[in-house]
Amino acid sequence: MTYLSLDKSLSYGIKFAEKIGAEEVEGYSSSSKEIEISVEKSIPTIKTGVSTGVSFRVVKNGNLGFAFTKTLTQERLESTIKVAIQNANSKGKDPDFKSLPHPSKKPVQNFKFDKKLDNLTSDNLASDLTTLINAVDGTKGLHYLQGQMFLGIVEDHLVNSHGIDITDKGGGFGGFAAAITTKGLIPNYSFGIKGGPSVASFKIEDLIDDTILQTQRAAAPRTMNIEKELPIILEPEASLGIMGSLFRIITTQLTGNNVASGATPYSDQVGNQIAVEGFSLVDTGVNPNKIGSSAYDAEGISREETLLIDNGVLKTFLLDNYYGNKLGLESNGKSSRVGQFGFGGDPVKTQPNISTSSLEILPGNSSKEEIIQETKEGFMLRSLMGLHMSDFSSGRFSVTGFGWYIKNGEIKYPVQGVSISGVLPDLLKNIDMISKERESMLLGDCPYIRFSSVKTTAKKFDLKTRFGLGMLKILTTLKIMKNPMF
Amino acid sequence: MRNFGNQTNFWMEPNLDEDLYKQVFEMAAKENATYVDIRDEDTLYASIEVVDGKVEKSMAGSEAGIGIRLLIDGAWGFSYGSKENYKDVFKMAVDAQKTSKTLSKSTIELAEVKPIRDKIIISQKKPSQDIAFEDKMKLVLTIDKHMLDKDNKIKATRTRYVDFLRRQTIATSEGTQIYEERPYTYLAMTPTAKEGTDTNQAGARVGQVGGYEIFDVVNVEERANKAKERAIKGLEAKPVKAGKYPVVLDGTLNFLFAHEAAGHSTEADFLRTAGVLRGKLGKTLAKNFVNLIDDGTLEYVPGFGGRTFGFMKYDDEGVPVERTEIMKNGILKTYLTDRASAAHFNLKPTGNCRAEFYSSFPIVRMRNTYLEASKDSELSEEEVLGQIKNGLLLKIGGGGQVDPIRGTFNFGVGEVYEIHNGEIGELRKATTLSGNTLETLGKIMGLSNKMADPSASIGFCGKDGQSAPTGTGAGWMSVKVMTVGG
Repeated sequence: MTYLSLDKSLSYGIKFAEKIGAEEVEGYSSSSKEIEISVEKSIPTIKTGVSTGVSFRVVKNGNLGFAFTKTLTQERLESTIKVAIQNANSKGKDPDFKSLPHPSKKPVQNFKFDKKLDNLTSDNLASDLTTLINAVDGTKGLHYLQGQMFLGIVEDHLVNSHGIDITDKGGGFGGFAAAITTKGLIPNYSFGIKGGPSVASFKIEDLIDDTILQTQRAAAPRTMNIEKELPIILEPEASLGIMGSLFRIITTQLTGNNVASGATPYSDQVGNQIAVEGFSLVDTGVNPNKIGSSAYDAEGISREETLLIDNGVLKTFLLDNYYGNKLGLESNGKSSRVGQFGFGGDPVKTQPNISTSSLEILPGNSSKEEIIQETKEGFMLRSLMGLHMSDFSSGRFSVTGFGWYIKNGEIKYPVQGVSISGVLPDLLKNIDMISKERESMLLGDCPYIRFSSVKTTAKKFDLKTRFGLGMLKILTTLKIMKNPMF
Repeated sequence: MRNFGNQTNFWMEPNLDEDLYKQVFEMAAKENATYVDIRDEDTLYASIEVVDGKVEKSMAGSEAGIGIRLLIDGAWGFSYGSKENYKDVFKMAVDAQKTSKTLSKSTIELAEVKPIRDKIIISQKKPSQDIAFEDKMKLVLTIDKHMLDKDNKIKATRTRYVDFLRRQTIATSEGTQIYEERPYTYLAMTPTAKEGTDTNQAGARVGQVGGYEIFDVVNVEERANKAKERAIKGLEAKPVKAGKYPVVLDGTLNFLFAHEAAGHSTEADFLRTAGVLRGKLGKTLAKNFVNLIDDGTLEYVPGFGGRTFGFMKYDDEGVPVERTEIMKNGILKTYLTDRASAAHFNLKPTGNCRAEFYSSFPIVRMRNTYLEASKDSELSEEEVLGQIKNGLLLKIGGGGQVDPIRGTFNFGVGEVYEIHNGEIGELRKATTLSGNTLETLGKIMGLSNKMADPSASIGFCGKDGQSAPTGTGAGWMSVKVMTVGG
């Protein structure tokens, strides 16, 4: 079997598609390098690899067909093109499809790939992780649980029949760590996560500080019985972070495909007040400090910073070339070949689709302290789970999280198993405080946000469980046994 | 030769590259590797997504490459890449091992298994890869249209078809060499009912390990009808008041609880680090009639036609799968293991090691997971229902998430009925269910062993960024108290 290089595969596939009757062709090639080092307690796992492949979008019979392959032989490339054409043919003509994009006339922000990323080795990442493990284990009351360092570098090439010819190289470097605390009756854990597109944008000390701080804040949690409507403060991680992301419901509702299909309350709401004044949401694919920012989107249209909600007023949607045309608007460069929330996924296998890049919720007027002080009774939540089970068309959600109980303007103690539920589009009108302070996270920048009233449920551990935990605490404190949980 | 889409005879049978494997083993021997495995994969994909009666996305492709994992001096090295670059892949794996060794504080050992040479082709009466794209599209378009109702309450529909044929050779330095073709075919339907600003989404699935014949075995239109009715009735229903209730869970929620809450907490790779069930082997966790099963050998459920979604012959270390009694008569008997975690806990390998792709590091995953009653304590569905005088009947599980360290979980529930004086009462809106794994296990009051249709209980479980097909629906169960969302 003779294998072709990535560039030859791309040009061979495009020529073959034209030869067998494709009306338009877009070819994409990608070579991505990955180093991922994780240590769970004392057991390391290291994964390194290079993934290469090509994908094609072809136009035939007035519609698009997509196919990909990781096997770069002439025979497999030809079959990939044939199946892409067959795919397009089967769909029939789409009156909403105009053409593949033409070269963008919009201004383009240049990004410089940090060449230092190329020089990072698994030993560098391992050294950072060792520093982190030692720092966490050296902190009184904390035990290292797990951590991961990651480095990803993607070189890609996009070519289409209308003259788009873009090569790009981007990267991401960062880490995640979790630690456990045994203070109090119930052991608890928390995590830190940091990263950026360059070597300089990530410092292991920041991840260490964050992991230690967050775990110390989580120490000695309780469970409690609550069934009422309460003010809820979302920490930035719960709003836009990897372990929360409640506002991803809204960005999903603002994607052009959901707008076009009516699977959102916002189809006809541009220009209308959909949130309280003071709430502004921006999608920016051109923030040089965030992973995934780039000059062009997945179709070769220049990326831009898009103000989606301005002081509560809906301004526009997240659009690619197809849905821009379909909705009578212009693409704002939101096409992506990565996962649903602009993160993860295999760019070769992923058909271009609309996705956010990095998000920003703009700061408000209150301080974080004022928000807490003005909360008579409520919770401040940091991590949420179950978001993917939400009804994304209505925005109805019910998630369970970890956070802190607030009483008479003071944080009292951490609480596990707090469930909140509601309809997020309704709750956007229920935001009554937004902090001046923002946290910079992996995929966005976000302030502390308070909803004035949210359905809240929590359940206290039953007597048997509390008794068991109490006995365990006594036995481990007296060093009669080790805590078997970790 | 296998057809793809019935038109292009190009998807060649992958080769068993025994010479390549031999070369890798020889290179590994020179590095003093005590164990090496190679996963050589060439998987075929096709998917179609129809939204509101129109094909929104469709694709086909082939994912191919090799992953090499080697064990030297008690530390793993793993790398992946394209097959033609196997020498580079091997070198990267060796380098990864060297870094891994610097991080290791313990030594990886592997539980012993017998080497196996086998070739497994899981049959498809109608191979999905041989069905023309046009025919697949016709099916998806027909079903999507079928979800519309005469009163025009269903405002949005989404129907997604996927088939993939996983073709993989596992070759180990111990002499195991298994070539397996495992096909998956499924259809997911999501109608959304809307009135004013209120919307309600429902979901239904049809799928199996196998081919296109599943659509002859299952009445897909009937299942689409039920999803449509659920969306409409759920829209009209009032929400359930958030709080704690005695509940009856149907078979899909039995599967969800068994998988998410109980099953994940017994995965031994994770338990090496932490978890609520760590240190609980031999302990009583539930009443003496409760059994937790994870069964990869369960091919068919009597009375139903489709193969279960967690069926397989070997795991991704080449270990034969088995019916594992994780918990028997309420006592935790074993964890789910791969070879390394089995050796760590001195357990036997249960055949639970799975990797999504050649590029994924294999980890412990479930297969078909459910709770069943001991034979002499088995109840009928009616008897299970009769155990709850006033509470809720919860049906149609809709995804879930668990925090195996804190032991908290959160599930989606598609259909909620009130139970009044032991009678099924009014329908309530879709909701969520949350709780604590250990507490909930101890509160199971009764179980029916009447298994649900496996073609409706197909799941994709996410762990460490990898997805794995899992099943399967079991019998109804009653729980003294659980927290229901709102």
